[in-house]
Amino acid sequence: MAITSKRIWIAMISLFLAPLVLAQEGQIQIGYDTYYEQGDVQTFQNQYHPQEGIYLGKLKLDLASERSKLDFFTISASGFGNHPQQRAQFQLGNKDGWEFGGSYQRREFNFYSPYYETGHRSDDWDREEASLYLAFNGFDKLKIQIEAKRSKREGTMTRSFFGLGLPYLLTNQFEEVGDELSLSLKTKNLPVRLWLEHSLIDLKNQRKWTPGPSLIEDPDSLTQAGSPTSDNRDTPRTRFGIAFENDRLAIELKGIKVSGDMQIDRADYLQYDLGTAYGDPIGQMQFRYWAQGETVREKDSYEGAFGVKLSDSFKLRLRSHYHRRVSENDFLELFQLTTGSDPFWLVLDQERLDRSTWTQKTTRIMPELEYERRKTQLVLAWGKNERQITHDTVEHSSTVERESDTLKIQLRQRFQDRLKLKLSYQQGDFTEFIFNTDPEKVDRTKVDLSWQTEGGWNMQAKAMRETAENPQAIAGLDREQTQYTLGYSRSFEAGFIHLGLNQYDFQSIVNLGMEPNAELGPSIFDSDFRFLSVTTQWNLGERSTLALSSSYGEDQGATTPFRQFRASSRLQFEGPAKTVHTFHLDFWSYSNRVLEETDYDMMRIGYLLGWRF
Amino acid sequence: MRYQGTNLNLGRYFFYLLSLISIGSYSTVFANEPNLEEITCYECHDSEMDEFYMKGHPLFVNGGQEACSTCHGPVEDHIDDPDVDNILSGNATVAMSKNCLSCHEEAGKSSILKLDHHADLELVNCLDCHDVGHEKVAQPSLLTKPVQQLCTSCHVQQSAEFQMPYTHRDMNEPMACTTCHAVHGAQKGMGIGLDATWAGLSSACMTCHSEKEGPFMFPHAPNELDGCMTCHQPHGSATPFLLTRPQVTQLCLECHGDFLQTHRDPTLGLQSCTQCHAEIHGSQRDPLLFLP
Repeated sequence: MAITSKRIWIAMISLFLAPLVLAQEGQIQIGYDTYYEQGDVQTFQNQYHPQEGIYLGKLKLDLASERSKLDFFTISASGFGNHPQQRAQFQLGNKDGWEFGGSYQRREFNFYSPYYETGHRSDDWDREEASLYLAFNGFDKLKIQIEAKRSKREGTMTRSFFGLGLPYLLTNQFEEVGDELSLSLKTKNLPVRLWLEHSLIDLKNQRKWTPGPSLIEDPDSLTQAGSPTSDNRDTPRTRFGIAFENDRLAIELKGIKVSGDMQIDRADYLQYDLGTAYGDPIGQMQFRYWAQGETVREKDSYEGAFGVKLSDSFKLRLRSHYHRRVSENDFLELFQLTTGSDPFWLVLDQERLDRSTWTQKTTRIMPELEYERRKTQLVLAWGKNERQITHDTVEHSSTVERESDTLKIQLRQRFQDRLKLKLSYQQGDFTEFIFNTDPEKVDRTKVDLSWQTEGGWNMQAKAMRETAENPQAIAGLDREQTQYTLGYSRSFEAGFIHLGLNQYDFQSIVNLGMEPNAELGPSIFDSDFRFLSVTTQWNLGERSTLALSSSYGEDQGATTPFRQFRASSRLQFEGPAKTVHTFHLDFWSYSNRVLEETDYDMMRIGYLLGWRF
Repeated sequence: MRYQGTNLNLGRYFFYLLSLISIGSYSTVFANEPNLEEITCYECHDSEMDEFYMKGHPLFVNGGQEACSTCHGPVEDHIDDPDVDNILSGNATVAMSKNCLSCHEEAGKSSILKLDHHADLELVNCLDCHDVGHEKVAQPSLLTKPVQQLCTSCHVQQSAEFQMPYTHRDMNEPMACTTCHAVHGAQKGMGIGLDATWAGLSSACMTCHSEKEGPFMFPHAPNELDGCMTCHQPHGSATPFLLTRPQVTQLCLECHGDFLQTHRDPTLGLQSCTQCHAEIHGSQRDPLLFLP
């Protein structure tokens, strides 16, 4: 845990002093959770990352009194203590003057699986990010903001890799630190809106390798591993936008330009001790690797939109998009294998120079016509997209081009202002293929019905179907997905209830092939997922609230069949001396029909003590 | 065990800063109080204006009748004949939302361009998600409910996807939609908008997963060309790491059908592509994406 309990108490006492004296608003909650488990705890931790113990549920302070010069001054925090996510934020200032603020967040990520793909995988790292900003909104036509941000990711990742004919474990202890400084300008009260942001971003990555324990009994053990080097990346970024709209005409242009410069300086090594023969050690095998290089990448992306109101019923729009990405790489590496034992050593060297350029360009244009009269809206759109990818190396150059035509029809109809129907159909036709899974044709149909009544209930029904395919000569792609959704919610004076039903079917077939003249058969993915949920909340008198929710999900498809059930309840009531007491009870059940060893049943019981002042 | 790198502890310094700021709140200076009774609206709407002045939409800090007419439109007809039909009230949400845009012009609404369905006031207007601001509300930015509840009330399909076993979560709850999506349109945060046509940049993913962005000496083509969603389902998946297939090898083979014959030799014990090709997002040292 990055923050000790002593520091939490120091900070909380400090935070309490101000509002207690100035009688401003605030609330604080301290919670405690405990878990009762049955089954595979690790799978539950992989999905939810729970922690047991005391934590800060919520801290919220409003320090700008109605008689102060500050329009707003708020401090909020949550999660500090035994909780995988921690956040803190403050903001103070005036709407038409200076504004100062900052935020901090930290997330933990833990994942462990000895089952994953018959290998071994574990992650134990966290990511912190802290930012400060200063803005001035006092000019009549302009707002200026400067922001500094630092992010840090550190921890360990353990993976298996294929060493001397067998899998070995390697633990990578790493630390990545990123610094970002940005300046943004935004106009206001002008007929043309402009916004511009320029950022300087620097990222450093340091790593350290450690051999992991052997996965199997192996005479050749990995005894040493190292990568005492670092990568440095420098990435300036510029984003901008221009927009203008009046009663007849609208124009918008926005863009982003990112440059990336990665400097690489590597020196890695792996050393194996090669078993024994007749009781004597055979020797060692050491792999050493040095590399120096630079990769430079430029990304430009621009979107433009133009619209004109031809009459009260007709509008014409034109949208365009241009994207370009160029990567240039220069790389020199030296690879050395040393094997044997004293005094006989064999050394093999190999040097390689790599120089390559990737260029990608995408251009899209889409005219659109809209007819809208009274409660009917009809939109017709047609689009053309061109993509070109070029890969140049010292030995060869190759280019692939892929084009597509898109047609879209959309109808929206309102009945009596509370009943809305929306129908849309979209079709795309593509030429050439970059990946085996690129479709030649895609169809998508959507239906959306929503109905609200004055009695306070709201119904939604949605359906979507999408198909994609490509010829047998490519991969015989045949993909279909359908979704049906029903939602019902009703509001009452004392609460609300919401019911949801979702059915999601997804099937994908892709022919796999392998050179020469070999076939692995088709890759089949089949999912048949249905989900039912109930959520309700009720006020029990003036001082207490009860919230209940429950959901059931089941995938009956052939690929990932599983079943899960969740239920949660939360009872909150106000006690004496402005205290708020919250009890919560949560239950999770997960059953995987393929990997039954990952099943679990978990229960969480928690209590939060809050105080409002 | 953590790598002993820099000694920087961001959280420690941030809490020291927070403590200083809260102690510094002693220095706030009292300002002149506006006289609400001088405002005509106060004669009939005294209770609403008292609450509005103390806790409501910050616009009222400017004081005066202009604060009311900015949202409710011209008030003269209503002053002469105080009928609800003579002024914009809560039922006229589309018309009132247009008045919101007189100050919040960056909200991305457009009656002509309509670059996404949130930009169309007829489909989604300001008051569908935000409170009018007459009184203090519990949620930030005058939201009527927590972000996740607001979004899933319409986007029920995405709500169901977030119920998959593996998803982006904040502890037990799905991660807030606004973490990745700019609900007012892509212009504001320049992240992915509602229509993720900029997903090729995967800029929203790289905010947290910055180590995947590169540039890489030897990139993995799908990561460069079509972005993260070539292999991942960001809303939820039945598979660890939000992959679109339960086994990584199946996912790889759908594109890479032309790898070496030797990979089929069972004596080598090769079961998973990423057992060797570990740096699947791109490598700084190996065109075959072996060790990092």
